[in-house]
Amino acid sequence: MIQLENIQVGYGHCVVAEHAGDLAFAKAKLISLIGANGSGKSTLLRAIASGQHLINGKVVVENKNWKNYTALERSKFISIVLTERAFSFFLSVRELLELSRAPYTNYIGTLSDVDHEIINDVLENFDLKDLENRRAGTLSDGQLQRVLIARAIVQDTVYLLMDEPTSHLDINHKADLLLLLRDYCHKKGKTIIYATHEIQLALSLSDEVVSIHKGIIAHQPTVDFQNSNRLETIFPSKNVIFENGTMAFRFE
Amino acid sequence: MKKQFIILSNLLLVFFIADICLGTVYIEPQQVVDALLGRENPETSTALRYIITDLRLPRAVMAVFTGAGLAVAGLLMQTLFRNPLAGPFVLGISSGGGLGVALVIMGATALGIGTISSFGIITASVIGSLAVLLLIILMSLRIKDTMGLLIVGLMVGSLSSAVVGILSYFSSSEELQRYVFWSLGSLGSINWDDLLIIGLLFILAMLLLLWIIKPLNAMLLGESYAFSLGINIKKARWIIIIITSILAGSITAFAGPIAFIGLAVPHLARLILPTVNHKILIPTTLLLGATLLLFCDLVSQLPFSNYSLPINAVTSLLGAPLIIWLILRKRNLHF
Repeated sequence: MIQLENIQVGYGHCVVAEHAGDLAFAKAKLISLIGANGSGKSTLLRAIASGQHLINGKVVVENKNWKNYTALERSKFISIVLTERAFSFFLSVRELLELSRAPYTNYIGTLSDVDHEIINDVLENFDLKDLENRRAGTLSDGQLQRVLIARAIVQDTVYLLMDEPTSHLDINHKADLLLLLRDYCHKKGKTIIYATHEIQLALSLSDEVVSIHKGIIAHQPTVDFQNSNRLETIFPSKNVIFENGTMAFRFE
Repeated sequence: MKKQFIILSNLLLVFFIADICLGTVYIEPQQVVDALLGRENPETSTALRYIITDLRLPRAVMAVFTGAGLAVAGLLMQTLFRNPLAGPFVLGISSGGGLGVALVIMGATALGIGTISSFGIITASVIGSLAVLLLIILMSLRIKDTMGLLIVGLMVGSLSSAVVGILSYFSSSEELQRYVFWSLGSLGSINWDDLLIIGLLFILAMLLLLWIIKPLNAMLLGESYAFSLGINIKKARWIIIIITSILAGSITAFAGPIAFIGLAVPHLARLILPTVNHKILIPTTLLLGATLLLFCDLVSQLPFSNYSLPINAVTSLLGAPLIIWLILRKRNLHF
């Protein structure tokens, strides 16, 4: 379980988002993180993953303060998907996945049969088999996005934090991928917390919703979130209508 | 991959022997091989034997250390800064060495010390490189951002050149010529004692290198991902800086600032492999760097003539078109 105790996240002394009391994320859940642009979604994810931007409060993972884990221990609990793409575009898809087994390999990074097996499985599940020898620089944005998600899965951690994993993807890939991730969570007992702007997909597929509005972080089961009118307050627009968990545009 | 290694190793051997054979005096390959293996050859005179073992062999060995060392240092900088234009001297190490040399050559008369020996020049270069190295390490304690460090390195380089510029403005033409000669590089003025020092430092750097192969590979994913994979980025960054400083610093001290090898060889190695996995890339870069500098040294000696070219001019003359060719072929360079 990941627990956030009285956390405040932000930059320097400027608090962007906070929550008084405990927030707890159980295992085997797909949790979406919703909020307007600049509300602190990415900041919150970074604060959990690396302690960066954590101004106050405590992150507790499996009943132990996250600060007291070594870097190597951390890498076996939480993996990340970032929006930044600072990696070498010369890497092939397979090499990219192989490097992500780093927490489990020896000092020089030798891969075992198990490592190869895991990589092959993920390549298969994420429909990347055809791309495995392609260089990252030759992939489209959407293909790259799928590779990055596969990369986090290959790291085989209990918790996965993803910053807008469905951006750049076609609508069919968005739906397929999120369903795949939900099944992955439920079957393997993993928890994915992902920031998203895809409200409708989030509402139909995620188990829980974390929302940030006016600097306050809230955490609810998806059903409660739908019934709470919070969507209208987070995304106020006379042209967008929210009704019973569905969303529609209405232009006058 | 195995094929590339075998070809490169053979090429290295051929160039190594050729580098000893060719020069103002031509020596038969058989004589060179005999002398290297310690076999007696009735055709080899004592003078020729001296030329082989005390002049050309140290020169060829120095070319191997210099080529291999600068190439791998360049690779480390390209990976650390995720910048295909980085080379072994981006942290300002050669500029530091140059400043040290400029200070003793051009400052000596001003202080009334007289002319400085070649040993004095080497010492000055070592001290200059070390000073910049220390400065960079102290800065890296404060600067969390790797790109910031790159800019600081460039600024240190600019500062050094500025001081060198002022010094040369006020120095005599004779001093200026000595400095220019140093800055054009030379593999020839090396004796076995110098080689021992360089060799030991080289081995030390290679041992440290083994330690950071995994972090180097993880860094290809970018620092955030590397960190999330349990890699101690800070420690790796330190070790990378130290290895680069040892290699670039010691080589600059003895051979002067040799351009382009450190920038061009890693790209060439990536192209022929082709992979960015440092486990394979590092040995290839070492072999290729040594081979290429031996070749440059061969060219610079202008065999069968009484003239020779400065090594730094040759590496640039060959290196710059090479980079342009790479860009034309691949359209872009990666780190």
